[in-house]
Amino acid sequence: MVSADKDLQPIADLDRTIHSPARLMILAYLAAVDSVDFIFLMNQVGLTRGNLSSHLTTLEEAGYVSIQKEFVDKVPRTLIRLTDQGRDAIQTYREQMRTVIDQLLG
Amino acid sequence: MNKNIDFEKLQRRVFLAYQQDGILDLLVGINATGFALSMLMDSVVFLSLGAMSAILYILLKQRITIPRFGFVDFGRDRTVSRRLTILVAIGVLVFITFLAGAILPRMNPSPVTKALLDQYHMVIISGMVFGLPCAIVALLLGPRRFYLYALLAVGLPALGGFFGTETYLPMLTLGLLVTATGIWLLAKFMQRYPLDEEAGSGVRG
Repeated sequence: MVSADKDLQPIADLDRTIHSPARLMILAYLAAVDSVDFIFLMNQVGLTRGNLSSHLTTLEEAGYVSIQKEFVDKVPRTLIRLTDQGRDAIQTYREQMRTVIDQLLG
Repeated sequence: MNKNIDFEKLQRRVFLAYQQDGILDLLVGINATGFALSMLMDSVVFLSLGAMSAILYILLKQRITIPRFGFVDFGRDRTVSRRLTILVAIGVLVFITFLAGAILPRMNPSPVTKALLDQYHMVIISGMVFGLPCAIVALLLGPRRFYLYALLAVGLPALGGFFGTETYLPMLTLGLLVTATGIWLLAKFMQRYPLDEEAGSGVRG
């Protein structure tokens, strides 16, 4: 692995789980509300079922979201919620991005 | 360049999108129509449409909005405080209306005031019962069309008073207009968010 230039190190340090437009959008929506279901995220983020499912699995494996299956009136519902770890990760990512932008743009 | 994601703004946008199904419009429209019909028929039976519309609101949200748009929990504190503010504000307005209705006739108003009150009393009633609540909904929940409903709730009875039409007519016009808008919005919403056959499924099947 090529070592990053010291000035560009903050870019290399960015959390790659969050640093993807789709996952960032998912986390932004989750940070704005308490919990949402799968259909809501699909409508808002504009991803296909398979794509969204894959991104959510990545986020769940990182411990950033919790996914719960439940039944409402015999209809299955997938409820997604941001975990405390996910909230901290967004905060850290925001700070890192701020540093990166400040360093790159002065 | 704005480096921050405005979560409050995002939440407001989601909340607003949640109100684009026209169901709240139906609630207001049916209430105004019921109010007009109870004046026309001189019967309080039609006022029960108000209670029915509240049940309809919950049913439509559960059966139409959530399966299509998806479910969002805005957080208990935020939802409760918003609902409480709206309920308290509407309760205070209705109370003031009834209080004014009970006190004003006992104040021996001058003939001019009395004539004005006779001619334009519906402006006050409609403004308090429908106009201000619509303005509060627009202010707290965001859908700007409710400002227009508030304006109509005052403007239509004022026009009715000016032209000397039957008192129920402006209310009926308001009710039918708002109901029609609600139905149109609901149809548009259902077209935009078709029912997902695989509703509910998602991660891990």
